[in-house]
This record gives sequence, structure tokens and C-alpha cells, in this order.
Amino acid sequence: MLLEVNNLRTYFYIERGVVKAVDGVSFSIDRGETLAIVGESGSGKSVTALSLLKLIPTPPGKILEGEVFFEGENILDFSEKNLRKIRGNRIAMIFQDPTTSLNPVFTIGDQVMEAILTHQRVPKKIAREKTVKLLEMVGIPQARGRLSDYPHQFSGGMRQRVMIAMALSCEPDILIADEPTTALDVTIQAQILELMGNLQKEFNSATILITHDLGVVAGLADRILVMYAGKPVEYADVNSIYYLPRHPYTLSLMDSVTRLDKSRKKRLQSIKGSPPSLINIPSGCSFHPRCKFATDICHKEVPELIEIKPGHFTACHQVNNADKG
Amino acid sequence: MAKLPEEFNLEEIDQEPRGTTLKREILVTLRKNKMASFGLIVIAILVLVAIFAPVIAPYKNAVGFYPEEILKPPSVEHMMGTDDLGRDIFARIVWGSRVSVEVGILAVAFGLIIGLFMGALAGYKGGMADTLIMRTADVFFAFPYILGAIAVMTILGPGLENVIIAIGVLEWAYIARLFRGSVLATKVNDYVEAARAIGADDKRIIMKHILPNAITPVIVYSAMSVGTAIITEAALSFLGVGVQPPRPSWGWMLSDSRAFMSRAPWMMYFPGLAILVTVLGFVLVADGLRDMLDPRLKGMSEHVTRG
Amino acid sequence: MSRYIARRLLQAIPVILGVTLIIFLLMFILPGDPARMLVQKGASPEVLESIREAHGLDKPWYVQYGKYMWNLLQGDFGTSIRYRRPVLDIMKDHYPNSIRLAAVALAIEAVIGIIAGVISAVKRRSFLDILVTLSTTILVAMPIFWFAMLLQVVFGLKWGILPISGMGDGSWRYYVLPAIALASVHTAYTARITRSSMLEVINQDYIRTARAKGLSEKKVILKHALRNALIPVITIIGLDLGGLIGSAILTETVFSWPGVGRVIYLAILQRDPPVVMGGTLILVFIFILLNLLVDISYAYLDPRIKFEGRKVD
Ligand SMILES: Nc1ncnc2c1ncn2[C@@H]1O[C@H](COP(=O)(O)OP(=O)(O)OP(=O)(O)O)[C@@H](O)[C@H]1O
Ligand SMILES: [Mg+2]
Repeated sequence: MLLEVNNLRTYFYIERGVVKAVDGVSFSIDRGETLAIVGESGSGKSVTALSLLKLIPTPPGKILEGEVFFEGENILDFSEKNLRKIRGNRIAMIFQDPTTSLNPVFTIGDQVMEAILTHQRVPKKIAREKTVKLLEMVGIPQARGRLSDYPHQFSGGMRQRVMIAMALSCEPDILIADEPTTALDVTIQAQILELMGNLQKEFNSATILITHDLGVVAGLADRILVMYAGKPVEYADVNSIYYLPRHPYTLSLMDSVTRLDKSRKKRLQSIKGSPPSLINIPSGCSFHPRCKFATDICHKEVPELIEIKPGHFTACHQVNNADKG
Repeated sequence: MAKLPEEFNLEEIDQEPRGTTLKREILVTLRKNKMASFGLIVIAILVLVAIFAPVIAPYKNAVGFYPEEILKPPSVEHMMGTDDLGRDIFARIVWGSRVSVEVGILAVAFGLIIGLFMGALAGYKGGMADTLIMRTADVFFAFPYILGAIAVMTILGPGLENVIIAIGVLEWAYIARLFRGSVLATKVNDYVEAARAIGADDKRIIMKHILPNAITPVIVYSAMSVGTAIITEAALSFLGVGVQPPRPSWGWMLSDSRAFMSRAPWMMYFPGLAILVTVLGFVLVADGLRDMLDPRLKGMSEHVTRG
Repeated sequence: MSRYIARRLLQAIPVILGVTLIIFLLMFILPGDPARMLVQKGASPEVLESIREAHGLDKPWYVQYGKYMWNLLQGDFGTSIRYRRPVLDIMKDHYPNSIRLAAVALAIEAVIGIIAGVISAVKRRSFLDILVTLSTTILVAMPIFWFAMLLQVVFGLKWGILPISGMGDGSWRYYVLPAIALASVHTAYTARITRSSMLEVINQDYIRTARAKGLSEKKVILKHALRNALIPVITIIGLDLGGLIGSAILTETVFSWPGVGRVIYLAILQRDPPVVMGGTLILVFIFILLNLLVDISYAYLDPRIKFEGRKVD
């Protein structure tokens, strides 16, 4: 395995209490694979991604527990110096909002070059040439002429391409893309995702794709991790999730996907209720207040993540009972 | 935009017009902040000392000439020592607080009356009025604060009332600029549009809708500028163009102390400390108000150039 | 660019006119007769009259104002009534002293203010942060002239290590205490503003991007964060130079510094309108120029700002 995450737990200690943003998440990914992490807003997807590289703001955040094995070594134990050799070099990230993720006062040429020069001992001139190539590769027209432009001179989609170029500049083994398209127009979304797919094939890297939209990942992901209120609720290969989803939450997510084409309004209503506050997580199964199958046990006991089929995990009392009985 | 944790967004950014709950909100939040409550206590003590000056120290100790008591260091009799005329420094500080309180409050009140009116006019009416008022204000900004105060004092002549007028005359421009800015920002809000749509007249719109919302930065600024006014009064008196003797003023006391810096340093320690602690009180309250009323204002009320 | 500068300078004209007019009117309503201050008591009315005539003081104010402005356009700032010297000469004597002192104070303000602000933002809630916050709050409330006197007592009288008055031979030792006193309050403001600006910037997404790139913490803070955080700080520091010259009266008084603030202050007291006018006008020119410089340097610091002064984004 290229990357193996075990029982990751990241909490935020804020004035009003403890935010259990990530609460026992495990997954693994190999070269050439794409893993999608799916969940509603606030379910802890970004915090999971940031925890992998220890980019959690501390305080208030703290990684309490867990291991992140990268090529067999636990990077959470790495010194800051060794971590920096991984960040941007072996594991790179693309963030949610391209309009704010680039530094407004430096040219995009400088920002991409900086990534190269940080990790590779090459002369500036070569880094520059490489930057031009990267920008061309991600589809920025007249790339050479735009090196000295500032981020505000680019559209949102173009900025995200620059982010991708920057992330790919050191040919990382793993690319973490945190909702790379949420802030973009639908047509541009498709282009960016396609670009990422192609580049992954070219580099034979692994991709962790974070999204709150199951529809987006259908053609891209090999495996899917569904998160709810900081916990993994279902983890399986893409076909099982699409054709045989077991957890009620995944079911309702799927529901909203299939209704996408029919009515956008409906889609928003399809999961009733809102995600819980991560400070006062409901007792038992955190999904029970919104679950139409909930019974007594769901109020009381936290369901464990159980392998119901080889490679297919769910955390739901009802599913477990049904399988037993 | 920076990522704000979801839970914060929902509850802490309230969309309602402030106005009615403003006073309660200020008191509640000030109590939560330790530094600000320290500031409030300082201000309360200052006001009490000013009011009860006759009870705390007899006026006759603060003025006059006592040849046998000249330049006595602090002792049981004179807890802060005496000055070159044998006057009791503690008594002078107690009585000097009256000057500071009066100048601080009245000068800012005076500046507020003109400044709020001009700011509202400029911001709400726009056009000619706006241009005229803001260009006039620019002239005031271009002129160094303390020089302006000195110039006005030379025309009006020394005296407490004139210090108040001089400071107020300079303060209005800052208040007007600040208020105009927030009036402009508030004016475009939906509820003002709504009020206009149902036919409310200008006066009503300003008083009921714009004022309560636009006033927040002005409140913060005012707390700060009471402190600034107190320092300015002391500075003017220090330079000899402020309050006139024999009325005890902290600035005069510092001016007097210069000739005795090595022989009687207590003459300068205590009046300076009195100014520092008093102004600190207002600064802390202003800081507290700003953090609580409107964190976006950070740094805004902070910059007033002065002596 | 040059069009922008030209426009800005044109916009400054009404301000300059306003300032001259106000000072002129102020000097006119001032009680006391400048002519009388020049002669011994009991001088004959004829003598007074001739002095008034010589200085044009017998004409109505608008004639005097018009004449003053006309001369000003030709670079003539008039003659001091009191010192009987060209105002420009007096200013040439004193402005360099003021500007030098203000420049030293500005350097202190910028270096210490920014360093303190950055440290306290980066090490938020640490002992250092508390120390910086506490001392800046106290400095903001500090009456500058008292602070100056304390410096004199401690460094001059108690330890005797630094001169406490005048410029002496002009060596650096004479600058230390006045510059510290003059810079004190401004340093505190700079530190506070740097801190809050820095705190805002280090929570921005692009700082996280910089960290995710594998940059060292030093580079993240000193390159990516500081460059952004300094944008508002620069305005304040830039404009302070004007403020530092104009507001130095108190420091100059305490340290008997032969600066221009003191000259203007004395000229106000002595009813010497040409000196007040000339001194203040130069100050206003400096102020306007600095404003312009700050706005131009803005465009270099923040590429989103165009010379129209508008943010594009
Ligand atoms: N710096 C922080 N301080 C306090 N709480 C935080 C911080 N960052 C994240 N959180 C909390 O952690 C929880 C998970 O946030 P996260 O950003 O991982 O959600 P997400 O699944 O990525 O949502 P979205 O789809 O909106 O990006 C949220 O409740 C959020 O409030
Ligand atoms: Mg997220």
C-alpha cells in the first residue's frame, strides 16, 4: 500500500467545547487508484485531508490518535523538517477555493516555481521552463506570457488549473484534491476533473478526491469513503456504493444523485434535517435523528464499522441486524 | 475567504439591526472582558474622585503657597509629596481630575454634536454637501493636530472652556469622516430600502434606521478620543496655552516639575501616572468595545496622530 | 502613471488653499497686534504705523492674502516679522533637524513596531504576545511628554549615559532619547496594527497553500504572510512621517530640540504670521507628497490595486 490511514482522530478545542471533526477514520490507497471521500458540508472531509499532512492549525486543533503510513512509515511521527520533504513533493494538495488559495501578491510564475525550487535542486532557469510546461499541460493558453501575471488576472477555473500545475510540479505520488471544482461553473468542473483524471494516468499517481457530491465521482473513483459527522459510515468500491449502498445515509445521498436530473429543488430537500453540530453529536448513531429506519438501539449505541462483505464496510445497526438475521 | 468553522457562522454573525439591544449588549460584553472591566473601574474611580474631590482633599491644600512645606518627598502627611510652592501633590491630583473629566467628556461631546451632524449630512445627502464637508475635513487632517489646537487656543485665549472648544473643533472632522463612512455602508442595507419604500421621511430614516447601525464605530472611536482629549488638554497646559493656574491641571503640574526633575522627581511621577492610568482606562474600554461590537473594526480606531 | 500623479496634485490644490486661508484668517482674528510686539513699549503711533505699512499690515485681510499667495507662487514665503529674516531661511535652518529626528523615529517605529507585531501574532497567546500587547496598550495611553521626561530622568540624570537636551555636535547620541520618545506612541500603533493584520493573514487559504507546498515556517511567515500583512501597515507608517514632524512640538520642547514644530509653536505665540504660514504650508506639502508616495507604493505592494486606487478582483 502506498498510503494507509488508521483510526485517525482530529479534534478542535474551542471555547464552546470540543469539535470532533474527525473521529476514527481509516482507509488506504495504492498507486493508480482514486479514492473519493464523500459527505455533507462539515462532515470532516477537509480536516481529514489536512491531518494527513499535519496541516491542522494547532491550537485549536489536535491530532489525538491515528497513523498515516506512507510507504510504510508513519508520517505523523515525522519531524517538521522531514514532513516538509513530503508536503508538496510526495503528497500534494489542491484546495476547495481557487480564488483564495493563491497568494495575491506574487505572480503565478513565482508561486509555481517556488514549489519546484523548494524540493528540487535545479537552476532557476530550468524551474522556469518546467513551470511553462506545467502550465501548458494544465491548459493555460500562452503560458509563457502569463508567468508574470497575478492571480487576480485569472478566472476561477484558470486559477484552479494553476493550483493543479503547482500541485503536480514535483510529480507527487499522491494528489489530494479537496473539492477542486465546487467553486467553479459546471462546464469547467467537468474539464478540471477530466484533466485530473488524465494526469493521474500519465503519472500513475494516487488521487484522493474529496467532494460532497456523489454524482461527481461516479466515473472517477475506484473506492468511496462516506463520512458523516466526522465518522466513516460506509466504505466500499464504487460499484457497491452505487448499486448496493447499505447505509441509510449513503442511500439518501444516492437518492439525491439520481434525482439530480429531475429537479434541483427536490435534491436539496432529499436529505431531511441538517448535519449535527460536531460539538453535541447525537448519542448512539449520530445519523439517527435523520434516519427513517432508526430504532431504539440507534439512540443508545454507537454502531461499529463492520465488514459486511469482503471490502465493503458499514456502520449501521439495522444493516448488521439484517445481515445476522 | 478564510475558512470559518461552520458553528461560528450561524450564531455569532447576527443580521438584525442593532439599536434596541445595543446598550444591554455593551454592558454584558464589557463585563465578560477582563481588560475592559478594568478600564471601566478606572473610569468609575476617576469620575468619583472628580465628584467627591472636596471630601477627599481640601482645596486649600491644592492651591496657595506654603513656604515651610516646599519640595517635601512623599510622607505620611503628604502621600505624594509637595511641590515647589509647598502645595500637596495628592490634593492637586484629586482636583486636577476635574479638569480631565470635564475636558474629556465635554470636548468629545462637542466634537460628536458637530461631527455626527456633518457626517450624517455628508453621507446621507451626498452630492455638494458631501464634497464641501469632506474637503473641509481634509483641511483639518492636513493640519497637525496639536498645532491646530495651539492655534485655536491662542485665538480663544487660555481657559478650560476654550480647551474644550479647541479639541471639539478638531475632533469633529475625524468623527464626521468615520460616521459618513458607516452611514454610506448602512444606507445600502435592505431595511433602509424597505423603510424608504413604505414612505418614511429622511429624518425618520436617519434616526430610526441609520443612526443605530452606523453608530457602532463612532462609539468605539469616542471612547478612545476621550482619552486623546485628556492627553491633549495635558499637553496644551504643559505648553502653557491650556487651563490657567491656579486651577490644578495635570499638564501644568508636569510643566512645573521640569525645573525640579533631579531634586524632586515625585513632582513628575504622580501627575504623569494619573494621566497614564486615566487614558489607559479609556483605551481599554475602547479596545473592549471594538472587539465585542464589531471585530471588523480592528485597527480602525487605533490611529490618531497627536503630540 | 504620470497622469495619475498630476491628477492627485491637482486635487491637493483646494486643500492647500483651504489651509492657507484658515491660517490666514486665524492669524487675523488672533488678539494682539504684531506690530506692537516688535517695538518697545510706548513707541509712538507713527512708528507703529510705519511698521504696519512696511509689512503690509494696514491693508484689509483679503488684500494681504492675495499678495501672500501671489508671492508664494513665486517661491517667496515672506519675511518673519519677529526675526526680520526670510521665512524660507528660518525653515532651512530648522526643517532638516526635524526631518532627521522624524526619520530616526520612523525607523524605530517601523523596525520595532513590525517585529513586535509579527512576533506577537505568530506566537499568539504566548508570554511574548502578552508582553507586546500589554506594553503597546500602555504606550498608546502614554502622554508623550511625560515619557520623554522619564527618559531624561533615567538615562540622563540617573545613569548619565545620554545627553538630554539640544543637538550638541549633532552626533547620534543626541538623537537617541528624543527619537525614542517621539516614536513611542507610533511604535505601539504600528505593532498593534501589524499584529491584527498578521493574525488576519495567517488564517488565509493561501498561507495553508504555502505550508502544503512544503515551505519552511520561516518562509511561510516572512515571505507569504508578511508581504500581505504589511500592506495596511505601510500606509500608516508612510503617513506618520508627516505626523512625526508636525506633532514633535512636545518632544522638541522637552528636549530643547531646534526643530520646526517648536518654531511654529513660538511663532503662534509671538504673532508672527509669515512663519506660521510658511512652516505649516511646508508641512502640508510634505504631508500631501507622502500621501501620494504611499498610494504609489501601494500599487507595488498589492498588485490588485491599480493607480485609480480601486481594487480589482
Ligand atoms: N480551524 C478550525 N477550528 C475549529 N473548528 C474547525 C476548524 N477547522 C474545521 N473545523 C470544524 O471541523 C468540522 C469539519 O470541517 P471540515 O472543513 O473538515 O468539513 P468539510 O467536510 O470539509 O465541509 P465542506 O464540504 O464544507 O468543506 C466542522 O464542524 C468545522 O467547524
Ligand atoms: Mg472542506
